Amino acid sequence: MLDTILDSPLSQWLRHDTEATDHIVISSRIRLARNFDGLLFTNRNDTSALEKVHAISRGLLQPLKEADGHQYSNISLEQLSQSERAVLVEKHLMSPALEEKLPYRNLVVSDDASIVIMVNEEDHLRIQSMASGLQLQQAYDHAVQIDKAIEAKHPYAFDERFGYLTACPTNVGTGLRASVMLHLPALTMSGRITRLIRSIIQLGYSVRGLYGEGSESLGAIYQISNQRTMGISEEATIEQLTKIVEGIIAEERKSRQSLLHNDKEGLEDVLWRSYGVLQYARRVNGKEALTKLSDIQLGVDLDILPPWGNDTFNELVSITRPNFLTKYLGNEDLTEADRDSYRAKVIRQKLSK
Amino acid sequence: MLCDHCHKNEATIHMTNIVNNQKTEQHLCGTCATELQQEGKLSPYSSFMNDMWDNSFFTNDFFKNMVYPDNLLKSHQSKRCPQCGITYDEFNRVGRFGCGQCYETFNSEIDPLLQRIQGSSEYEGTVPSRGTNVFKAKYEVKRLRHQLDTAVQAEKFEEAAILRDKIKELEAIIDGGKE
Repeated sequence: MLDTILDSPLSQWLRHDTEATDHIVISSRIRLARNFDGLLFTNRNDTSALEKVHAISRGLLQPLKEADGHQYSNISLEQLSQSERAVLVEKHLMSPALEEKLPYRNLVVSDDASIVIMVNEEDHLRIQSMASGLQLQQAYDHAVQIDKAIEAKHPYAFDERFGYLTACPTNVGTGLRASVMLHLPALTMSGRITRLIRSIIQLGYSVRGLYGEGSESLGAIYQISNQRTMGISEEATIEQLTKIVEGIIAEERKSRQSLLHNDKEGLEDVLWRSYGVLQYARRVNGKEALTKLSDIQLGVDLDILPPWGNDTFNELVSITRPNFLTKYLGNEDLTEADRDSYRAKVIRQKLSK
Repeated sequence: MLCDHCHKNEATIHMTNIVNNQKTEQHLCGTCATELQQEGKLSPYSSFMNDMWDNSFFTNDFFKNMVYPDNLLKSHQSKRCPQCGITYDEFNRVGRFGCGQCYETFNSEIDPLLQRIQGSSEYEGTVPSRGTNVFKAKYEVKRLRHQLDTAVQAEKFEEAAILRDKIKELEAIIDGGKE
């Protein structure tokens, strides 16, 4: 199963099964931070606590299967090569922090990779649940199923005043981080995104680029998530974030219409040029790939460019990330030029289909 | 960030020295910093800085109390989490608590901290299934009150009446549990 996760560009949960007319929402993600009662947090590097948590996590495969019917498996990070771990980071299946400290660190993953539990990271457990499109509630319900199954066997550190106790006080309380990944090309092109981001931040939500903290937004892909875990319930967090995202979707659609209205030919020119470049270029770097793939998806959504598969954008975004590309090609000694050349080739092949 | 000296522990002491317009940075863990200082291997400037922050610098109690109110100094210095052994100062340096017990130990410091970073120090989330009935009831009441407010605002009075009755039932459980 590890092979399917490492080698397939898209996890099962990310495949769109609906015929959406635009592809603004890419995915929804829920994360619950949990620690076990009575054990020191991982930052204390206490071997007995690390060992106990590790052992608990290995015993979870059966109870989790009983909880949601999926097959679960355990991936020990020590057994993976560095490039395999890098792919997991790129696919958001583990955080770069987990990559640094290997002993006792592992992942518990469901067969469709919709549930990924990071073990012994900043908190004992980080339960992540993922769904395609805007489905925060579904992703949350799934996470709760898993959470309850674990809690029934191993009580969590919980305090009546502070809620679920976490290593960092920014997570204490619900321990819930809900986030939605969005593709917002028209808002980005028109420059309206800057003001929008400012107002989202003012509402107490965070906006980040494609790859986690501090990364710039490439390919007009943004991640919006809640910040507060105290003074707000899980239900309200999800409800509010869903409303905000619905608002952003409406804004993006409006921006698309006004781009079409203001200078349709100008927009067509930009999008066809990106299409042309990716159709014929011989070397494409990661940044250019993301920018132009984003243009093409916009063109497809607006019926300007010929249609491509529902998942092609997401798939190409994953494939063309440097680490995945390396793994995909099965060759770890690639120069930058090799990679750019392979990247261009993979995209050309997809576009010619 | 790892310590520049032992490359094992997390660096907790960060020094920037500027000598003749040359900037150098050193990041050390507590143990290495103490060792290096005792061996006289730290730059003279940084050891001066250490003396400044060391409490022996403030030999005069009167002066010390003027600068730092006594209770502030003591509470931060002496309180140590009985389970994991960290102090609040250590937490301040790394930004992470060492165990669940820390929340109990430092609760008077955590309260204002949460107010500042989260805008609230009230927990409003779900309660684990092993929680007591009274405790669960308390949270359920909080939740229902929110719903009640919304129902009243939307002028859905029938729904509001049902919610009000539920809240009353739960309040009876809470009162019962307190006796």
